[in-house]
Amino acid sequence: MASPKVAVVGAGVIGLSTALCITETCPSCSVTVLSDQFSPNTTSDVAAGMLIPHTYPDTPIHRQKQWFKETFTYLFAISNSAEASEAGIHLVSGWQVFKSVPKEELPFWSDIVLGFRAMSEAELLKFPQHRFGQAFTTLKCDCPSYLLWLEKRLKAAGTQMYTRKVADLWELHSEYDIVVNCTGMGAHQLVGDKQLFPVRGQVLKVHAPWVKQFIRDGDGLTYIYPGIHRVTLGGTREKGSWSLSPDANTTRDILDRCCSLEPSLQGAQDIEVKVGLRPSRLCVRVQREVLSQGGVKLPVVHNYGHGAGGFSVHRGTANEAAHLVGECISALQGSSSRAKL
Amino acid sequence: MRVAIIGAGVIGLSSALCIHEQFQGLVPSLELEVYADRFTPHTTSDGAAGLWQPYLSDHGNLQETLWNKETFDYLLGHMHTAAAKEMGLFLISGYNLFTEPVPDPSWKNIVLGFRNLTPKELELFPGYSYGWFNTALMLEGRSYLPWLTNRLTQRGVKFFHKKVESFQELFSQGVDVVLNCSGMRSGDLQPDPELQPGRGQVIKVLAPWVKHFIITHNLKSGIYNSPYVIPGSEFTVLGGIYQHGNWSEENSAKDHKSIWDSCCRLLPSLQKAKIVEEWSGLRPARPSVRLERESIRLGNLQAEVIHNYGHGGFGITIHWGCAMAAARLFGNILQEKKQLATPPGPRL
Repeated sequence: MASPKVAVVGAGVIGLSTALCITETCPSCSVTVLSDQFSPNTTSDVAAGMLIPHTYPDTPIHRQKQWFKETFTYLFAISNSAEASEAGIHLVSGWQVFKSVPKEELPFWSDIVLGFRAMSEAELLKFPQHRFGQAFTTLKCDCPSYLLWLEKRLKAAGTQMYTRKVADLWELHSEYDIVVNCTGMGAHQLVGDKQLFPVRGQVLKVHAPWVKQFIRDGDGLTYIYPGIHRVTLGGTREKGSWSLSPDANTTRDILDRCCSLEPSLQGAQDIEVKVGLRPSRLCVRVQREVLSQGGVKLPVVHNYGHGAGGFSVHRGTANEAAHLVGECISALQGSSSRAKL
Repeated sequence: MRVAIIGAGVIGLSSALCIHEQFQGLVPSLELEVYADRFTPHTTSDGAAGLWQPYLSDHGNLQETLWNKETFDYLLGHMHTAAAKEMGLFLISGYNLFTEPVPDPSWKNIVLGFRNLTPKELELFPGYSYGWFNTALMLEGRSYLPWLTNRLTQRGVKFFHKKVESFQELFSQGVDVVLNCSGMRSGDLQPDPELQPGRGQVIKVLAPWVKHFIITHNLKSGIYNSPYVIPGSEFTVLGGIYQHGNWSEENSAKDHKSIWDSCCRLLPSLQKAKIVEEWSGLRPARPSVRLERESIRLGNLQAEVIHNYGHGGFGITIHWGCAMAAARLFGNILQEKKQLATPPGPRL
């Protein structure tokens, strides 16, 4: 197989980073990205893009840790280069505070982020309702910038990108040798995955440039994440809600909760409300599959279901998916040489 | 009781506010007047980035360490108020970098979360093998000075745009006490060979992705003669110039290049930062802050001057502690004047 034709369906952070990894590991591949939405209209564009992992109940911890480590290392190098501002990657320090001491005081990722330690008594004074906290430095992706930067790298690598709604993976079998399914929430419909469910998140993006530190409540519901131009205030975790319309009461509630952690946010200007559906699953589906229909085979690599942790593990899962694409190619080359005999 | 404050930088305005807050109720006839030839945004305090951080060593000057602490605690207490944003006050974390291990600074327990840098963090800064991380405060002069001015105006304090040529000038107009907060130009009012300019130059850029301060130290070249990057609410300040004895307030192309090259080496992402402004200023440097009373004989009058100048590159860091000390000295003057006002006794 001289030049395997690979279609990547989905152009959020998972689709684009997976496509990029494939161009890196398989330079002879011809990669095309197909998606009904591109930045700024993907779920990724809504996300704050903080590198604080979400724990998937059914994915082995060592695998999640590996994914996070690869992602952190990759972005760390970008943040320390001249490309940092274009790619939208920067370091940010802050606090995760808990109303009661958590069962796990040392999360699995504490040795990957920088300077992880328990908060001092003096620091906790700032949060009278919280009794325990962790201080650390991590990375943040400015999502729209990062997606544009990925698109730019893809174009430079010769990747074609088309706006196209793929209703059925079989549509692609005549034009492409391998299909990579990075459709996030779309996989619910596209491959009928009933284990995939939306967790609705509403966030506010505000102008508050004096906020330089992140603050996150350990319950994951209230957070303040300072980005390059805007601060993301969150949020909600509404399991099973498919609504993409902003809710005014929720906006008020998010502002109240964030202002109680950081009172200066009362002076925040220019509030933009955004909603995204986290494509959630008990374990991230990074897996090979060979679809079969009437004697025709279609190799598929799935890479979806990252829920609340997409940015945190994106490069790690993209690497794994690209590796699986490599296996698909070997399998195809194997069977085509057998066919020739 | 007329009190004239000379100087409208952070020292002058905060001293005025501190005195008014403490004594306005006790001295009903108290009238405060601020005289300056430069007001915000044209003072030295406006050019400073506004980071609360004392020098590395207090050289045994515990008084100054105490004033620094009082200032930090005072500002931290304002952090939870709605005023913080208007004051230009916010929390910020960052790095102090060294090429060799150094003793912990006098202020390690004043700031929040002080710790040494981990090996992984040091990878970010090739050439530096040791450092600190801590959370401190930013107090931006361009917001704080207007905030102080508003508070003073609300309290009825008067402002005069005028260069005062001598203490006498004010006393002859009926001023009772003068607060000399004239910073770099104190020498014009009363010669002080110990007061020397510590010239600095800074480049202000747009780099909103920078969320930490980074201060490098070169123990041989001295404080602030090594690159530093300090992100503000609008601009990021790049600096690293400290020229003792240089009175020039003109920007130097050579210093510009030195700052730009060294800061971009320190933080490669700055290469894409857009330059917005360049500024030079004179840190009013002195071996120690001059904060003391001086009684001046003018004919048969005893005129009182409270000196509060010579805060070098740590004016914002130390300002409130000094303002409170100046207010205490003012209190002493009030006490003494009351005694002088008692009815004549055995002298007759």
